Amino acid sequence: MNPIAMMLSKSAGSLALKISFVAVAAIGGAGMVASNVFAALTATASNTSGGAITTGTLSLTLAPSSVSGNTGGFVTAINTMGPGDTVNRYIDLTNGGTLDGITPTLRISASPVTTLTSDATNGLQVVISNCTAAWSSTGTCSGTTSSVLSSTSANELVSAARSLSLPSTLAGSVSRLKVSITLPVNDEVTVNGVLPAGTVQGVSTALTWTFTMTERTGTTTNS
Amino acid sequence: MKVRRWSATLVAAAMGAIAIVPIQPASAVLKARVNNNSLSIQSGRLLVFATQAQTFSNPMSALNLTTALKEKVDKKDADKSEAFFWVNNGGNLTVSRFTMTITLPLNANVAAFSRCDLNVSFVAANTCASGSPTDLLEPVSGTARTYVLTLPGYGFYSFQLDQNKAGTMTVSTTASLSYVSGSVSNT
Repeated sequence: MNPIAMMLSKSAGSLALKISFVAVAAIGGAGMVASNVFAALTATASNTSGGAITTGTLSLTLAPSSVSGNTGGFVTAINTMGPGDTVNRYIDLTNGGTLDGITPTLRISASPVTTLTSDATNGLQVVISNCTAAWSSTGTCSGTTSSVLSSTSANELVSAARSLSLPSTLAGSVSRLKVSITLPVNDEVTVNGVLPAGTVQGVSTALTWTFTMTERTGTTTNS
Repeated sequence: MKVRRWSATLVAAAMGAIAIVPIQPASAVLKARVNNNSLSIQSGRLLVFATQAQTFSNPMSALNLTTALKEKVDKKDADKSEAFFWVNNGGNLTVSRFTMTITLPLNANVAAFSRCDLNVSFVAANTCASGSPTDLLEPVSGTARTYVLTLPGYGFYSFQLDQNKAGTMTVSTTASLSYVSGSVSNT
């Protein structure tokens, strides 16, 4: 290479290096300037008290009536039920939570399953009514009665939950229920001590009564 | 490349769904449920049957009773056979009536038919353990006849039937729930 060409080559490399250095310095400088601007404009605000949030509760309880003579509830066994017999049991169903409830339902489960619950016609039938006051020991209501569940076979209640017409499902409300359990009249004939096939006689079952209530519809408030 | 893009899209969709599910209103609805431990319910039974001696053990069949002629005191006396049997209720329901179909030995003629009071047995011919026998309408062989007698659970009636033939007598019973009275109780 001749001396003039060498000088030109050196000069070009030096220029590229200088341009690179200037570019890095410019970017760094701009970054520093930008960060200084954001830090200077940060502001916060918060309340100093209050702002507490509590959630409501939905709670159902079931208890036998406390009226003397009517305390059998769903606890005391029913024995030797014959066709045409009705046993009235008295239950207090309480929404003890802080939220109102809606769509109350009842479902029964039976163990073991016998004709008392598998036979929709000759098996047990259930009627539920409500009294605005406590039921008396003779089954009368001194307040206002209303139908909660019209006659429904235990078979239906085992198959699916049924809607109940409770007068109130508000938080704190107590429904005083008379649950009438009936074994309908039928014409089964015993011949020489032999019961007919599919009889409702001499059978037993244990029933679990499940009451369910759903929370009232969610609300949106502006306050 | 296309496969990779599809995979990424699917993963993103799944993540999105997972993120959205917790804020769906349906899952936020509260339900309260309450139930009892269990309510035991037992139905009663009506088990009416005839036996040769008083018992509540159910034979589950009609009664076949062998009858023999009584020894005559005088040769001129008519043939006579005294048969005793019991109708029992081995169940726990009370029935207000029941039927008996009594089939007598061939060509038998009934001379008398009687019973003692409820839960009282014959101890000898025409003699109850207490009280006196009550005459009943004589049965017609092979024909069902209804006896309007209240027979409570674990109760019985004792019968005496006088007829004039030796042989086998059959007593068949029926009882219907139609004659069991219902009741209403508040407990």
